[in-house]
Amino acid sequence: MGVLEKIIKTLEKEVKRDIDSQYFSGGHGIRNSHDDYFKPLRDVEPHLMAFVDGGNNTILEAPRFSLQVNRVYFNLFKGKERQRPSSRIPEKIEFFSYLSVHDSENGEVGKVKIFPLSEEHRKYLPMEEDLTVTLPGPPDFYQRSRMFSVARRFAEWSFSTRIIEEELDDGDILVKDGSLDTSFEGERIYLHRILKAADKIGVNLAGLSKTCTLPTPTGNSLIASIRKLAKDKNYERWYHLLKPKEVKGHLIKIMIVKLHELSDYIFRLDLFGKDDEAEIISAIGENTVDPTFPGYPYGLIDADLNARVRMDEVKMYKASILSGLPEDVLEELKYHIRAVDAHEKLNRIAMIKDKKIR
Amino acid sequence: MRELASGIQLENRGSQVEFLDEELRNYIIAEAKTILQIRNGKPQLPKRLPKFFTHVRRIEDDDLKFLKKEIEDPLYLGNVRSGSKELKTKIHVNAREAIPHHILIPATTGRGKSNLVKVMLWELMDIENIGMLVLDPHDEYYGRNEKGLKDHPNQEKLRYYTPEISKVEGEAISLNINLRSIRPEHFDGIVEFTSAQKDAIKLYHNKFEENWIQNIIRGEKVENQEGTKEKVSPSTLSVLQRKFDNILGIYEEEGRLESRGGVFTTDAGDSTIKDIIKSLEDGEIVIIDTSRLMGEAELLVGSIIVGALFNKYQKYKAEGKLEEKPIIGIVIEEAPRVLGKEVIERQGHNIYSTIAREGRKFNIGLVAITQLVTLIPRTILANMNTKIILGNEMSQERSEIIASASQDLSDDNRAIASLDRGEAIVTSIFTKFAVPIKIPLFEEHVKDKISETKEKPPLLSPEDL
Repeated sequence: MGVLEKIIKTLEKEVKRDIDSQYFSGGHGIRNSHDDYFKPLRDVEPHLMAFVDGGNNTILEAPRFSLQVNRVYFNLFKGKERQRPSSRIPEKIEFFSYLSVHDSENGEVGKVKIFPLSEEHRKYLPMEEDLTVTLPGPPDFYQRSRMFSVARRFAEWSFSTRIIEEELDDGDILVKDGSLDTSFEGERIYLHRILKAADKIGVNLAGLSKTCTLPTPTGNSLIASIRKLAKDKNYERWYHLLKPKEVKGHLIKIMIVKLHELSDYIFRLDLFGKDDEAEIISAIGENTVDPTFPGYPYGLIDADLNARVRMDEVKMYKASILSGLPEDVLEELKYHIRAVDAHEKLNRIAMIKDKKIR
Repeated sequence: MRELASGIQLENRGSQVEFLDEELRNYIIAEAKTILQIRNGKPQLPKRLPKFFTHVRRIEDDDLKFLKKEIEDPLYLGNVRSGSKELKTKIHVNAREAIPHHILIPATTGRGKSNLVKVMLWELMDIENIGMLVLDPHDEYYGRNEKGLKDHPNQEKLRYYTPEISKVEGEAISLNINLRSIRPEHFDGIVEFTSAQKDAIKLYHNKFEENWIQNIIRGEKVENQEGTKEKVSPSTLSVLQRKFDNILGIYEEEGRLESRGGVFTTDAGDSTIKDIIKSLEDGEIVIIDTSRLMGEAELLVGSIIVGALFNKYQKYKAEGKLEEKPIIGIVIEEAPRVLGKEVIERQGHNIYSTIAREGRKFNIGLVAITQLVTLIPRTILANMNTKIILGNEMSQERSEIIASASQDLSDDNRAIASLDRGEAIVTSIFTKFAVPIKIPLFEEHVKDKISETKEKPPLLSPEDL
């Protein structure tokens, strides 16, 4: 058997693994009686929904610092119709974040300074003192790049909280790209703050994850397992409840959803709110009819496009900053950058070669 | 649409999906190009871009006031077009300038070439001191069975020559050309002869002068001085007879010369060429219906007339009388037949290519119509200083048109391909920018013009006063 045939057999075996259709305990297990937790979506009256996403990209990177450009954007839809914000809240906030490495008793920590493009936007951004993170040392040194996004992630929470407070009302929905999980120190404070704001006003807070790597207790893909179970159902659009999680007394429902009949995609959706979950998920589903990506909210597609920081923007900022530096500082900075940019250099060579081949 | 659909089979599932933000996402990208700057009502070539965020809107008639200034001998081509929208502003070129600098009309079939020429000729009927020779292979300009130049109020300016005079209502003149009018050089660049045939023609012309063709057809022997030996071999003579039969329709039967088409004759048409030239010199429009002639015969008729005219105008220039004479324009269809690279290379220059190169000096110009610009040499194309470009689907043709245009049309490749019937771009050394125009439909143009004429109050006679 050739090596490719061996790989094919391995893949076949993997996808044909029996799903754990019985009771699973712990983690994100599927409940014992699936019928109780598979629910169809229905046609509902359109709800006002805010969709939020953020993006960041590296301008300069060296072993001891990193300069990022960040952008957080939101839009408003009532069902399928785009709405204009009624308050004076900006649709887009942009800022630079400078992460520098400091030595501490517990190892190295990254501290972030924030420079909003417009000073008026500072009120939507996280506090600098909250942005101190412990940096992974060897052997996880390369995971440090994950830390570059810390300012953007915190800004998504803080900006979303202000959107809930200033733009949304009881029964409205805020849909954030990604789960309602936290992964940085201090992030839970921001999550707690937004849950509190949503709870107070009666806004439903949802987090939609494009990717989900959650396993069942026996190690299968949770998404793949639920898809197999869903085949037995005749629902065109549905959700399947998983075990909820609690954050400081706030219960967050976790579920797998299929938001459009034609979609091949099912997603993890985290939901916090007092309203009927079927009503809220159905309302989000109303926004997923765009043929660009049926089954995924168009509001999030638009938010992704607007929040994305493109390379040409990065180049423009980089040129502006570097051209403003005195020559001796620039020379010194070059050696800092050279310590980590060799990979980028190789990529560039490969790209040139690739273009020539074409 | 900026994004691609995600690959799911969406055919026949239209009711389940719909584009959100449709007006924001389904758009046409328009590219702007600076072509002209108007300062104090005067057009100037732009030296810089407009300021950022300047208001952008469609062009309006008021913006084109500068085009309305009086020009002499205005030849109307059509109205300014903005996209597919026709404005009221009319586009004219100065006929006395544009015609001697030659006009090229490139287009594929069905894009409105004939209609444009009809409109132009109709307008030229009102301009004095411009003579036009129209070789009409489709007999479409006079308007024998439909609206045409015959319906123009200024009828005395029109001369229509046709071999089928009996079938024409109105004033037509019989197209008869006496063989004695034809000289060997009229065939230059139009009919290909071998050197033996050329020698034979020269011999016959030397010996029989204006009766040279008749004697070739009759097979008269040309003897050398000793009077014994034939100078032209029977086979050469036979080929020449066949060629003249094919081209001129002249053959011998029972000792008599017969004319198949009735155009080339031995017993009539002595004054035809002279009459045509006189009409042209009087600033008249002469249409020659060549629809019954073979292609070479049509060109030959033109060659005879244009050759004689060119010689006369050369003489006028030498005598300092040229400025008193009318401008002459020659309308020639399928221009590569006489202006094509291959034709010129193989057969040498003909009177049409001579006019294309040198006619301007003698106030004679071509209005050349073609589907295939690529066949015409660049040197000749560069001499065609006004081009009225109609729609053309052929990419290579468009590239050649763009390369030889008087203005930079490098961004207009697709625009030329998508020109609808009657839509054109005029590029000329006499305009500051390439102007998109909409040519009126001839029948409607005629109707408007005739009603305009009728609306004028009648002239009062001295008795009325």
